[in-house]
Amino acid sequence: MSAVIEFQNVSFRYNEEKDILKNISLTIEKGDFVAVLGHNGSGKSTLAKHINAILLPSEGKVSVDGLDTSDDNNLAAIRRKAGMVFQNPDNQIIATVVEEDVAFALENLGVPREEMVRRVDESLNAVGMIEFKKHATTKLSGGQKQRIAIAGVIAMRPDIIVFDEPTAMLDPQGREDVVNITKKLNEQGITVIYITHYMEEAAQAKRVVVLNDGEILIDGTPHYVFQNAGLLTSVGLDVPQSTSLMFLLRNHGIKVPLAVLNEEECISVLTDLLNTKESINGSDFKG
Amino acid sequence: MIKDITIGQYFPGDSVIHRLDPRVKIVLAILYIAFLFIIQTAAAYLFALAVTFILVRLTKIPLKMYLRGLKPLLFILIFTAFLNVFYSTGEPLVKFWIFTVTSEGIKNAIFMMLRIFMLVIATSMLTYTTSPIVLTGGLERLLSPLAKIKIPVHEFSMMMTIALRFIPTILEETDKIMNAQKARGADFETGGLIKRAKALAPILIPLFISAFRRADDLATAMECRCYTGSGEGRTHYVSYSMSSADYVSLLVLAAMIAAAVFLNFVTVMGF
Repeated sequence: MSAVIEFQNVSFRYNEEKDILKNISLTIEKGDFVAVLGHNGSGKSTLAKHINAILLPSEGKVSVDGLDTSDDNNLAAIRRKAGMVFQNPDNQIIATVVEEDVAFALENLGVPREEMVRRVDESLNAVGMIEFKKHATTKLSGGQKQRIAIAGVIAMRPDIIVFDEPTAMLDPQGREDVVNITKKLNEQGITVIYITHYMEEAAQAKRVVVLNDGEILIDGTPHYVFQNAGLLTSVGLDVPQSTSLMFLLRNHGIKVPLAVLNEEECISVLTDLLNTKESINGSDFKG
Repeated sequence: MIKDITIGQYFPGDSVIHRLDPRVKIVLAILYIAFLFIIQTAAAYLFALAVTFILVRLTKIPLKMYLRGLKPLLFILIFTAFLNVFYSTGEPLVKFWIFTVTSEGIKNAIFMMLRIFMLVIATSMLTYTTSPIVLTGGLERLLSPLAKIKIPVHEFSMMMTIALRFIPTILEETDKIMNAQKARGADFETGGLIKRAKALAPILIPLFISAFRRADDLATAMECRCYTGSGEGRTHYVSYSMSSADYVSLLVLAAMIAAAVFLNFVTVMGF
């Protein structure tokens, strides 16, 4: 795998008082699915906005596919390579009709009309919204609007998509739809950077980076990261419920693995545990 | 209150008029207004009235809707009629104090009222049968040659598009804020004009703050989708193509104007 995004000693500040990002170095591999976790004010959205040059580092350097984001000549190429989906679905839809909104980026890029028509259909199919092609954007639900926003980004055929808390304003159904789409896009080879504060969503990534106060607190596979439940809770972050249960069992001296990320894993660990317990108890009675 | 304003309203439909190319419709509306100002004889006015009513029927939108658009103009209509009746020169019919009523005056007054009446119907027809977004698109294409002399046609059209896109969003937000303030005991319905105007502050301030935040978000989102702010090098997703109906309607109107100009010329020459 090759590096597609590189942060080299990046610091960012709006003014002299406080550094939002403090000397961050981070390399993201092509095709990876990286969740960036952190509570409010940890700098996770700021980090995201550095990837497609919406913000430029105060110190250090960010490069996307080898292109320096601080070079104005690279701007168009970087924005085409790295698409971005934001939190508020209402504030990222430009047109009044679904298909026209999906075509917006293509119009800006000067894509010929025949190609545009093809790509709009393709993108709407990818997010399962093709039957809403002619609908008014304002009449859609939050989750549907977010899928349209994703389609608008896919239409550019980006290599990377940055999702900045895309599910924060959605209902559970909308949230599930969006998460499934991000996973599908990643399977198709798109590098996904997923900013969130939902642990369950982060647990589905291939790699989790936890930010705290502008610094990387911990970085690794979800199993590795959630094993450090103590460290996460100490900075005000929750761990997935199943992990938290394992943590409590461990505190009571019961030997269970900590890195249990979802309900299925949790069930299998608990059944194993109960089976072994029964056999131990059984032998106790005999003795 | 907002619901009463019919100018600029759109009635979705699938009539011949709805289907015309928006560029053609805009040109037709302008030409038709020009036509209304050229005609001078009673016969021509009758003809124009007939054409107007046929067009209204073709849109399949009830005449009532068009008349509703005239209501706010009632005062202007009466006022112009009044001025025309009393301030035209010609053979006096009735005379009292400083007022003189002439037969020309009455004729001018009727013609002027008919002219305004048909003018409003023609412009209403344009907006009633064309969705705002299509209208903006049509206008952008029509005016695009002006971009060459540095008139920001694309920027205006983008502003219009975004404004139209956000009207429902902002209305919804206003409603939410009003409810939130009512829940906190705000009173918008009682008191005099000043008290009511003051009561609007707790609605407008949060509304403005949120609108600015939205604008900021939207600008970022547009940049992320490679928007550079200039219309140069952009392509268009919506394409317009002129059908035979477009050409026919343009020809008919051109013929009407030619005939009107010819008839005027003949009258002036004294035939």
